[in-house]
Amino acid sequence: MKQEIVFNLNGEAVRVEVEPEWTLLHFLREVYGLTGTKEGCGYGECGACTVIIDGKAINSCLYPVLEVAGKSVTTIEGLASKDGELHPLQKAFVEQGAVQCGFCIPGMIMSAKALLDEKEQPSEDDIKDSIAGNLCRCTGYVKIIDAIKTVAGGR
Amino acid sequence: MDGLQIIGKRIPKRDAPQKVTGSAVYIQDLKIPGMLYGKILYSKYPHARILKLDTSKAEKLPGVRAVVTATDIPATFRIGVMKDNPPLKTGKVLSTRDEIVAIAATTPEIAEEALSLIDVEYEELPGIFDPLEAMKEGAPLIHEEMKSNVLKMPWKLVCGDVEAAKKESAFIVEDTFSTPWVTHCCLGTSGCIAQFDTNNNLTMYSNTQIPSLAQNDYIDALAAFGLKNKRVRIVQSVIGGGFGSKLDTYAYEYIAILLARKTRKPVKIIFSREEEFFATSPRQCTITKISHGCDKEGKLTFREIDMILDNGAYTSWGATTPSVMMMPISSLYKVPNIKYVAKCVYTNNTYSQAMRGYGNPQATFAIESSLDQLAEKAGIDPYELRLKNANEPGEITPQHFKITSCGMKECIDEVVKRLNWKEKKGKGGNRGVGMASLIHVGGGARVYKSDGCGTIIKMDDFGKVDVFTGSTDIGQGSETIIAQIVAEVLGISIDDVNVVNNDTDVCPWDVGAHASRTTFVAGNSALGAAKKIKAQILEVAAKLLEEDPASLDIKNGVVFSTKNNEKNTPLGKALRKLHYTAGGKMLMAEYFYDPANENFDKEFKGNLSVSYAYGAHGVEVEVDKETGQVKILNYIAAHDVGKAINPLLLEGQIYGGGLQGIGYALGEKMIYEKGRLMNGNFLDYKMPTAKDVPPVQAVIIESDEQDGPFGAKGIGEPGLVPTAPAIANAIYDAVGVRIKDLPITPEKILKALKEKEGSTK
Amino acid sequence: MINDFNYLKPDTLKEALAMYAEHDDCKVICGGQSLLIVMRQGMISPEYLLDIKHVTELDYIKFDKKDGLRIGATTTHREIEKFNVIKKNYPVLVSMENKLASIQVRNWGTIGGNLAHADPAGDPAPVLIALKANIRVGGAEGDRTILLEDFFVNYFETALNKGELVLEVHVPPPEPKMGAAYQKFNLLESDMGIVAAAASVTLNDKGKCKDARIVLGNAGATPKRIKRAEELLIGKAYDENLFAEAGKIASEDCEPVADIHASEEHRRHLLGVLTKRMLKKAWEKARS
Repeated sequence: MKQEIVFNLNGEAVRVEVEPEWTLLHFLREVYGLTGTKEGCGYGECGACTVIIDGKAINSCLYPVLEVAGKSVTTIEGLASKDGELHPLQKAFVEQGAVQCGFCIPGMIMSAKALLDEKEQPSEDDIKDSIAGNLCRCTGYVKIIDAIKTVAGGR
Repeated sequence: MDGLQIIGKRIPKRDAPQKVTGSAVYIQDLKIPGMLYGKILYSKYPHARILKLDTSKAEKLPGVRAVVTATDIPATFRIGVMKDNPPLKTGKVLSTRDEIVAIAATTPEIAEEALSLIDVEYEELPGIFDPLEAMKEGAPLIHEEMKSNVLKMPWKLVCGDVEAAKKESAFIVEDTFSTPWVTHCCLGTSGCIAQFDTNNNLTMYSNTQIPSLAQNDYIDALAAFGLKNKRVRIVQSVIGGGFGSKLDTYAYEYIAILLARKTRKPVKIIFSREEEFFATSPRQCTITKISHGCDKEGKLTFREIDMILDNGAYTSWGATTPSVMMMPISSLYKVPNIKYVAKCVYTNNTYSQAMRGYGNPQATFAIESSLDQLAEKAGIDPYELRLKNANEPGEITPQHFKITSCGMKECIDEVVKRLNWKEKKGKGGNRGVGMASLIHVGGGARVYKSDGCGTIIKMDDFGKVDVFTGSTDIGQGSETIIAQIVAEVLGISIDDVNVVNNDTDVCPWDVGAHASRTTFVAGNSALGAAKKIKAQILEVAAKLLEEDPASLDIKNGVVFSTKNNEKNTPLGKALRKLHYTAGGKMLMAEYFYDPANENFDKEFKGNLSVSYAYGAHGVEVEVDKETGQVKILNYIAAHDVGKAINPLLLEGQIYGGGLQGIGYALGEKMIYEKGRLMNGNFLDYKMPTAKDVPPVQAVIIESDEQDGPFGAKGIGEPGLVPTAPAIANAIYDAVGVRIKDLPITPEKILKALKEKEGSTK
Repeated sequence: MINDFNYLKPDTLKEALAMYAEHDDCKVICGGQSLLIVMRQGMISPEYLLDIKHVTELDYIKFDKKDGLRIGATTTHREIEKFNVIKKNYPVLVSMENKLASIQVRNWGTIGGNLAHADPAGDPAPVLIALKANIRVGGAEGDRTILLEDFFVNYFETALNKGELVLEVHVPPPEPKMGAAYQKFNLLESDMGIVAAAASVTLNDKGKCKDARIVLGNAGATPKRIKRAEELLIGKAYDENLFAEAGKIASEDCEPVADIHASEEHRRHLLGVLTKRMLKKAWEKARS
């Protein structure tokens, strides 16, 4: 049975009817049309579905949508500014060559953002830890780590 | 090469902005109005007879729009390299990935529920899961009609006289090495959407890495399904990883076509992660018996290899990987006498496909491990043995490869220098260094009759160009490389080059993203087309500027006279003039590049590729002798790439390949128990994470390949080829045990250490 | 998508207990990082899901020098990892949490959920037991406190009675001259542990062992205390041979089972090595 919830999605209040068995990922992708958040496994093992909820990186595939009521959710679509200017992390990922097939990248960037929001100057271990739950098969992670370092180093 | 504006620059991948904002559309993200969702019921057993199949309950479930079984396709229709694989099975199932029934429904959940309503009654048959068992006399036959479990693909390469060389060798080593099933782990799972128009022409939205060949496969299938002379259009969405997994067409694609035809609706099939693990075709396991010899000075005298490959239940490109294994076997280092025999064997396991390296990683693991054994026996430093036998430019190898550019020695030297090899080798303390080299095709590979790729370039009114290429971007960045090449030739900004590479209706023909061929072949094709259109532009501008075309050039989008800079015109202006003049014309050029490489002859000899890529990897490890755990302290990956067209993307290929190689060496294995995959998820399949990245250096060696676009060679696959043997060799140097069976787990190391202790006591 | 279920979302503990008592086919979810996986796999499909994640009265970390540490059941792993007082007084808890799954999982998974799931490969239980933790559980009829080591009954099975929820974990105050250490052995850096060992050592004024705990993870159906080895240590002075002997006992007394990742023999061996190493590490911490 559908229930109504209100929450903040990428800076805007949304009021939606959801089924209890929906995951947040299902809602974002299949109902709300925000397909930037990816499903790589559905079991919380690959991190492709990472979004930020109240400042924390979360696997949206293991998150019942009803739980977001009253919370604030940021997805990859909420990162660039309204006029399309890329977020510094997005820019760094582009410029540092951190993107290949790109399927893992939205989740990867959300994990990195949660880290940088929390820590001004993360160590290399902090960076690796922050994305250890985000699998990538193309890049060997080296340039992804470089990109995150660049953003931290530039502030 | 002086004066290059765009080639050699670190230019970001052009589709990266779409990917970092989440706006890139992958097959998972694509929806078409009215679309249905397809799901597949797989066999419960690895080997069984289907006694009864009842889909009536599923058909009645509200929301179900179609059910297809083997009865929906002609009994003789088969797919795959040996045409041994019906897309839907009846009678006998041969593996747990055998497709029996498929459903199309209005939602994926309904389709899933419908699957659970299907009744199948099986009679389980004894299965064969070990290729050695399958080869035995009297073993149950997987494909009864084939009369044998050994594939009728007799791989055999003989160069020189191995037996005579054995007699003359001062040192000989012999051993057996084995490698496991491993899988691509594309983060974006497989999927497609099949859609028919009212005239029964098919559009396939797909993430294939072989659009032109897939088109051919589907046309054949439609003909078999009674739809003759139909058009097939393939539209590639953004591809979430390839690595060889999308190099063939698979049953699920034909099932989507059948369901779409039956329902007259677009039908989407997307694999779950679980399906991606068990129902896609991985790199096969191999058992390799190898012997190597050298003379007193350490010159290699012969190499002999006998190999068994688990083909699995059906045949895809995996069965042809021995053709590429022949390359390192015959031509990695100078070895005058070669003998190689390989057998692919049917079992009731999954079936094998290409995966980055196309057999080269399996062969190189055996070769480079064995070479270290030989060095030890001959009392030569493994580095010196490698250097002494290294390939060189101008060489013609026993398999008739013509080596053009070759930076193998430089790569080996870089590894030695950067690892501080001479200080660290053989120093004990549970630390050790190891190295291994590689050869791979770097100038296309003529595995089909053609190794070609087409390019069309069209100029618009504003001096901008559209480049239509047959090549596919699976994440490696070919669209960026092609744009760089075209922009460089035309003297325009890369921002003025639009690359279209995902639609067979407009893109020219190409054999696919494989064999590390795209930069070389598609790059040369783009280069040819760009040169052609440049000549046309200069001719047009020559009339306008009243100059000789030979004295004109283009820079920053302006055509100018090299004699008199004042004589110039912006490119757009010249083109507009052309369009707006009576009897005008438009500028367009096409170019088809098919490298001058050769198909193998009947003896499997011939110059497979126009050029060969070389590399060497070196690694320093530390082994915990109490737990068997291996820690990589330093990793050097040196690659001869001809010319780095884009070092930024090139490094990405090396780092990415390297970590895949580390996974292959130390952790990855598809664990099959009686034909059933036991670790089909990311928790149990040990794919490296960011925390597993060691300190790594990518070293680029430029050897300027004469036939490459701006001197470039391929680099897609080499990054993972020598990783596993380099690590195995380093572990041996550290603790004196040689692990011959990948992956090198702590448990295997401990066991070997224990055996070693036992034997020295 | 998960199989259809009714979602119960109580705001208070009282409500939660009442709902739990009322509904028969009901599973408790508290973070769901394990439960939702088995539900998505269709391994269980309860009619009701009681989500206690929002019972804020169970979301707390309290520390008192006399009483020790109290962690409410709905506290996330990440909150524990980030809590300075824990870092100062129970550093082993933080280093254990640091290596538990991924940040995404730690951000939403809870200590109560983890313990109630009773996966013998779980990280927190061996460490908490080595720290002599208790667990408070309660139902509509009232609550009770038991030793955490008695809480685990079998694979994925606890001493919770019907209608009872995990309410709180209690760790006694840190004793002077006590040290603890934990390590898991994994194939990948961020992997589930194949096996794990936690040890705590308390020294007397003479620097000899007053008390010791050795608790193994994934070494049987439940977190496994190696009492025979603990007893061996009592009254003894620092001695590497002693740790090796304790390790040997641990490999004998543990009850690991083989799976696709490692044989039983290999697990026993590793448990012995880890026991030896963790005892040494704990002892050295106790001394410093």
